[in-house]
Amino acid sequence: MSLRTSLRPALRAQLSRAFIHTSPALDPAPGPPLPDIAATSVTASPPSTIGESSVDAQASSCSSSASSSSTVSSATAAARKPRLTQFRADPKYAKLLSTPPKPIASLPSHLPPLISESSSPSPSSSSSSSSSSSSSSSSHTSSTALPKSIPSAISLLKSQSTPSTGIYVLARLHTRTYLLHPRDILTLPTLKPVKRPGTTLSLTRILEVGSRDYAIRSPSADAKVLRKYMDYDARSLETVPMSIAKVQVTVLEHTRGVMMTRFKYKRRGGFRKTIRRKPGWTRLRVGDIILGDGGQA
Amino acid sequence: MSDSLHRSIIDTMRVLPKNKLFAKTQTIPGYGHFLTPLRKLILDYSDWSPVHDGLRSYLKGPFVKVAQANPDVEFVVRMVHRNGNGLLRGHYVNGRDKVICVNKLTQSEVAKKVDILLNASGLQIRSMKNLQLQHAPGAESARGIWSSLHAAKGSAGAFKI
Repeated sequence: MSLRTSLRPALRAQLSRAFIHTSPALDPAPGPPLPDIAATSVTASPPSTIGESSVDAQASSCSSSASSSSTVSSATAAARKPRLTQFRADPKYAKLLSTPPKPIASLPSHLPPLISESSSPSPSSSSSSSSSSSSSSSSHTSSTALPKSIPSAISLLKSQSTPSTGIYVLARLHTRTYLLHPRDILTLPTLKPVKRPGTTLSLTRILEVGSRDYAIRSPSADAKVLRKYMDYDARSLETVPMSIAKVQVTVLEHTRGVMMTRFKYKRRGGFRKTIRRKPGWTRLRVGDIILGDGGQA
Repeated sequence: MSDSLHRSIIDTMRVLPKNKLFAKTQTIPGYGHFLTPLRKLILDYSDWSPVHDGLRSYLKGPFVKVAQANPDVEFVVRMVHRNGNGLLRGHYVNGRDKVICVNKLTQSEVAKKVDILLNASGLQIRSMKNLQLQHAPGAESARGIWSSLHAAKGSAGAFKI
């Protein structure tokens, strides 16, 4: 029995109390109440599989132990009330059993929504809608169609994020790509020309901007394209334009790190030398990621 | 003042109960605003020592323009008496100070040391080799954390781990 398919109401209640999210769409419709265990023939519950919570396993083991005891001595089963019937008869739990538990919407869910077994998530597909850059969006639900225009794609991102939360950017600095969120501190080898602390710099080469379920990605974000790109040729790399997304970084400081010592030697020649170096670092604070209107493209 | 009276006064002044965790706001320097971490720079020189030639020529030369270009930093020029060392002492907002000795350095070398102090933040020097990205306090990743139970099932119908 997997977590996604049938869950008995009592166990669902237990799981909801333990703050495990169960989507109502996946739970079966509340059917007729379970018959009395003493009256029916009992089958042993299947062994616990992956996805079954420990609470579930405990309950199933309890029920299996109760059921096994009743099969062994059927004469005494009628006399002894099994635990489940007592549970159902108690008016305290009647409300729990009658109504399916609602998913806890108030708790912040850091997990993506559960994908139903029928629909598979559509992989990110690129559909070129403008000459400057290709925009593509990937969604978890197959019902949402890909947006036809850049402003609609941007509005999808905006629906899931604010300039300071729920949004990220893949930015290229020199020869490296960084996944940046607002308020991150990025530590790099000394960025030259050396700007005084407090200076704001703009990230011009943005390869992808996205939120939890959607992303606007240029084809340059693929490693296949990046490998061919030489950093001094700024025109050749196709990036997400400033009309779609803007990010600024603030220079926090330029420091030197810890002294690193390297000892080089060659045997039997008397060649020995110690190389000492102090690497220089620049620390940058990433600012808000501001989405534009798409430049009416 | 008696001990019990003193304690009762302190207890009435206590706004938050002790031994309880409360949400605290944390500063995010450099986000939306920027305050120079260096608050004071003290230059110790002597008038007669040949070892402070570079420092003296720096003070007579480019120093004034540097001080004018950094109006948020307090510059203090002090004369040391009797075998004092030529020092640059920077006091930072986090309470730490960085001290650099500038004996026997030339004017341009002294200028470079002043730049080091102006560009630094006062944090203790530590290895930044594996410190590429630091996230803000309480920040969550935009894309969420991958979970095998919430990912797509494979072709066999099993979870892909």
